[in-house]
Formats: sequence, structure tokens, C-alpha cells
Amino acid sequence: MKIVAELQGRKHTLVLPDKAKAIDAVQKLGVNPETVLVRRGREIITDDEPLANNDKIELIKVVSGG
Amino acid sequence: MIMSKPGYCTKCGKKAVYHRKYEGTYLCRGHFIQSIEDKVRKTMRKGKMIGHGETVAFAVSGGKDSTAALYMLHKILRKRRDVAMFAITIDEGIAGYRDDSLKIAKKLCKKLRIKHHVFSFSDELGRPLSDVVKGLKKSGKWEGTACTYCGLARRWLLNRKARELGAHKIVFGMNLDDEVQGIMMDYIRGDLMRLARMAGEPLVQSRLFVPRIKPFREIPEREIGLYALLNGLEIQENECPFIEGPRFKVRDFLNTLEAESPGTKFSVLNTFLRLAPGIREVVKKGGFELLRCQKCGEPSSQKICKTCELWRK
Repeated sequence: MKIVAELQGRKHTLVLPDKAKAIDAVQKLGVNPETVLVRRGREIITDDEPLANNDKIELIKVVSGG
Repeated sequence: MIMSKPGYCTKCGKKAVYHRKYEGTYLCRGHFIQSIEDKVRKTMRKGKMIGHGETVAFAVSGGKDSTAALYMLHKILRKRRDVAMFAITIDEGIAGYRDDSLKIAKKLCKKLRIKHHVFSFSDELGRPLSDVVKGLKKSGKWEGTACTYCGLARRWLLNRKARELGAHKIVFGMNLDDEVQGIMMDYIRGDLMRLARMAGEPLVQSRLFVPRIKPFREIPEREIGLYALLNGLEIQENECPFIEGPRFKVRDFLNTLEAESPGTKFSVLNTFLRLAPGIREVVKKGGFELLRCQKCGEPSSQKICKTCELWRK
């Protein structure tokens, strides 16, 4: 499946296996899942939420520094 | 009894917004918010954090932790007529970073009708952090990291201003991640004095110190982020441009461990809390005298406090 993931204003097109979950997209971008939350549309989704082809998700960085 | 199904709230069966792996639960929006507020209430009760008739100062940087602390504690405390609240923001002078969060802090204080005081390094210490970093690096007098200069001065100024404004307590938004990183850093540096102080009560009581309270101490940073988002609080995603030093390597290491082995951060905190009485005994036996800094008059373990040593060369 193909999805679009947005991280800090940049959009990335990701090709993931069928039955991929939100955490797979996060890891594919090289991001530690402990540092972000995932939003699809207006909803926050859990790490193990299944994704569908053409999904658009946003990774929200919640672990800061300083 | 609701049957637990992956992706659905363990308590009510609604669609979940969070999978709390270290607890094996899924939580919907309502139950997630409730669980965080219940945990914070419990931490506050356990630590007897806010007493009758006290004035509470919130250290609000405008980051998600401190704004969430202000939002949540205002929600918890607003019905208590005996408790007074105000907020303090320290503007360190970090262009392109603090400006944004300062706006967030101002907006929230206005919304909650909480008196907001802003103090800057420029006014109080003569220079913004950006100038100190540039100047010291250029002159070769650079010691430690920007975080050392900033953290020391921020705590020094917050304590001084909170005391002058009549606060009995200062609320910090430090979360479980901050606590655990601090513990690990103190182990790495072998700083028993700081470890002993992290255990709770200060080693030496002084009316010059406004006690600091950390109601989010047992809440993971990611959960504070989610709480802030679900309550419509603004989140600043950019990091401080001056971040450097081993603490951030420790942060990344702990997050990697937590992802692989949920509950790691709680384990570090709980082990430390069991060891803490012994650490305090060792430090107390070594003797500790509280002096007043000869330059600024603030409490210090040395004749000249570290803030004056670094900032007032």
C-alpha cells in the first residue's frame, strides 16, 4: 500500500506492506515511536492501528528538549 | 466488564486514542484524560504538594509540559478559594525559539485569567543567552554547555522572583522522562548531591528556597503531549537551537529502550526511589552547609553561587 506521512511540515510518500500499522510508517521514517503521536484526519490513532491504501497521516513530535 | 479488544478502550469499549503498553491497556479520549488527571491528583496528595492557603507560582515556558501543568492544575485547583495562583515565564533570549513559546504562555494565562509575569535574562542578568553563548565561545572561556548556563540561571531567577512575589511553591512541568534523564545523568556524573536532592525534600531547609513541586513526575512525556493535544493546547514542535550535551543522548537511549521494553522509565524511577534514603544518608554524613552568595545573596553551597560564577565573570 502507499500512504503519505507528514512530519514537521514535510510530506513523505511511503510504500508499506499490506496490513501495515501506524507504527510501521513511523519506523519507516526512522522516527522513534516514543517521540511522536500519529493523527489521521482529526483523530489520534494508536500505534497498532491498521493503515489503508492512500491514508494520509501526520506525525506530531511530542518529545522536546530545552 | 468490557472485553479488552486491541484498538478499543479497555474501560468502555470506545475507539482508543492511546495504547499504554507498560500497563497493557487501551484508552479512549475521555478515559485517557481522566487517567492522567487522576494520576496527577494522586501524586499531589501523596507528596502533600499544595497546602491550605498557599500561593502557587507556575513556571511556564510555553512548552507543552508547563502549559499542560498550568491548564490541568488550574482545572484541579480553581475551586479551592484558599489557593492563589500566578505564572512566571523566563525569557532567556533565544531568538526564534522562546518568542513562539512566550506567545503560547501569554495566550493561555490570558484565557485562564492568571496573572503572568515575564522576566528576561537581558534585564536581570545583563545579557540574553544567545549573546552569552556567542561571546564565551569566541573568547575561549566556554565551560560546559548552553544548557548548563541556561538551566542554572533559569532556576536562580525563578526562585528569586517567585519568592519576591510571595509564592509558597513553584510548579514545574517536569515529567517522568525529565526525572529519569536527570537520575541517569547524576549517576553518570557521580553527582550524589543532586541525586539526594531529586529524592524529594530539600537537604537543607531555607526560607530563601521556594519549594519546587513536580506533579507530572510519574507521567511519561508522550502522555503529556497527548493530554495537551486532546485538550486543544498548542504544542511547540521545534527544539531549542542550543541543545547539546550528553543529556540528549541519554534521552534518545531511554526512548529506544522504552520502545523495546515498555516500563523501563518507571523501573529507573522506582529503583532510584528505593535507593534514595541511602543516598541521602551518605550525602548528609559528608556534611552540607548552606551559605549565601556574596554577589547576589541567593542561597549557595559556595561563597559565590554557580550562576554568578558563570554569568557575572
